[in-house]
Amino acid sequence: MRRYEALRSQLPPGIKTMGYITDMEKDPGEVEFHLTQYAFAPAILEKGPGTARYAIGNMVKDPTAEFMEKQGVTAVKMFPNGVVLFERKAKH
Amino acid sequence: MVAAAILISILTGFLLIRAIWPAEAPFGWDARGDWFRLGAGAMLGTGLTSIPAFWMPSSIAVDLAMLALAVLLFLMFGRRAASQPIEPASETPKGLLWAMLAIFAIFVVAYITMAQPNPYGELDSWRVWNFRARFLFRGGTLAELANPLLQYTHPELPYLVTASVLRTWRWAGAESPLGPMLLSGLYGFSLIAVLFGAIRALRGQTQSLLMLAAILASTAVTGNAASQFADVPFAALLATSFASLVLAWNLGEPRLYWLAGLAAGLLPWTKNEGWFYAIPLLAVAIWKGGLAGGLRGILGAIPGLAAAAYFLLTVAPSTPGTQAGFPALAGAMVSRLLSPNLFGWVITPVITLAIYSYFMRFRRNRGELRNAEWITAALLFAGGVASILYRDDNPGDSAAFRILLHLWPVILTVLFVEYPTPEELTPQGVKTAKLRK
Repeated sequence: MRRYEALRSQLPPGIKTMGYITDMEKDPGEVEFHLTQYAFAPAILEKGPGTARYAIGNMVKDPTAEFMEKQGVTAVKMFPNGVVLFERKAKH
Repeated sequence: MVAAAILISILTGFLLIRAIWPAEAPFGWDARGDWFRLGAGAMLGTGLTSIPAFWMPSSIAVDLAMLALAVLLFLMFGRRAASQPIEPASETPKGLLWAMLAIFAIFVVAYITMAQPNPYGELDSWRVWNFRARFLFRGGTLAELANPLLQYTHPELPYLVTASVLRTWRWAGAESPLGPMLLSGLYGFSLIAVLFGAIRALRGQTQSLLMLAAILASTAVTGNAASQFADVPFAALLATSFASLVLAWNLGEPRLYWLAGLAAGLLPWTKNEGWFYAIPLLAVAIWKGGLAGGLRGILGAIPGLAAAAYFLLTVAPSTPGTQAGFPALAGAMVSRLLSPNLFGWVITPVITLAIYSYFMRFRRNRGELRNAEWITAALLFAGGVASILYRDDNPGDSAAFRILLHLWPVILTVLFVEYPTPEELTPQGVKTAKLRK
């Protein structure tokens, strides 16, 4: 859970919901998702890019441009250990 | 500060019990009754302080006010002489004492070894109880916790465990993993102390040490306490309430109905199935205690029951079980009753144990008191099975594990009250027992 501390400390205050993006093929019991949710409480995570401005990335590999295009996000900042802060692209 | 928060709740509960059930020496340690008072006090203090911690934004001032009230009650009522002194403890073989100390030390080491790698507990603990504490501590609201995206945090479950963790963090001013870790250790210790203390008060030290070995032999207590599951405080409260009734009957202490009620009331504030146990416990208090005992039990139960009922009515979302309506629920419960898992894992072993115990005729006394203990245990078992039928779509291993963890301390209490003590089994003891009859 500590791997998210750097990202969490840089988030603007008052964020109520965030997306949750991952490239993991399997997450048995959704433990990774729940651990991430635990780390970011009281912000509520939606699976996928969600509807909020920001999304947390829990990545095995660095996100490619194609991956981000598919998710409709851009990477704002990369943190160690596969943690990424994404921002949803504005809809045209 | 985490330790201070926990110590204050223990002291509050301990003094409250000393006010309800005075010791022979008000300001000293009374080894024959205080192990029970300490374990039960830790549970009651933790449970009672969790109620304002949940409903109010601050804890420290309320906790200190509750402690002051407990001190006042102790000074008013706790200095009376106990209405019936407990018989002096018999000599215990030194070897048994050392063996039990070694077993207890192994329990403590095992607990620390198992708890240390997971300071926030296992999945269900951090995803439900500690998550909700963290969510509220960091400024989230109960309304936000009811968001359907957080359904797996079970917003319908009550708050004793969560609010106790929250309380320690408020005292510390930070989210310390020590809070949930120390609390879960305290719940495990309380369960053991309640059982050991009750049997020590009723049947002497040797029997209580054998009881200690029996409860420590169940890895369920160590493992579940280290995992921070709510089943351990639940089992400790259930044991406290049941043992208080048994003590009330055997020691002729009607004031212990207060204690039985207080602990029973906190059961539904710990887990929703607590209603299935609290109602039989209060019914037995009315049955055996008459108007005075029943009233004490019901008044004692009010803090916990009121908190749990108000929570269910105003905060908790309705569950699929309650949405389905009574006829559908009743049909589902009957079909679950026929589940092979439930029969195989829960009903069959307990009924087998009861039949075996009956035919072995180990009961010391077939009088009314013993019957009350057996009937109460049977009602609690029925309540436990009903709670599983009500809740679980497919009662299986986890249901069995829950019911056996909750009820095993109750069953052990009955057995160790009933079993002859080693002293009674010596030739001289058998002679004395025959003369008594």
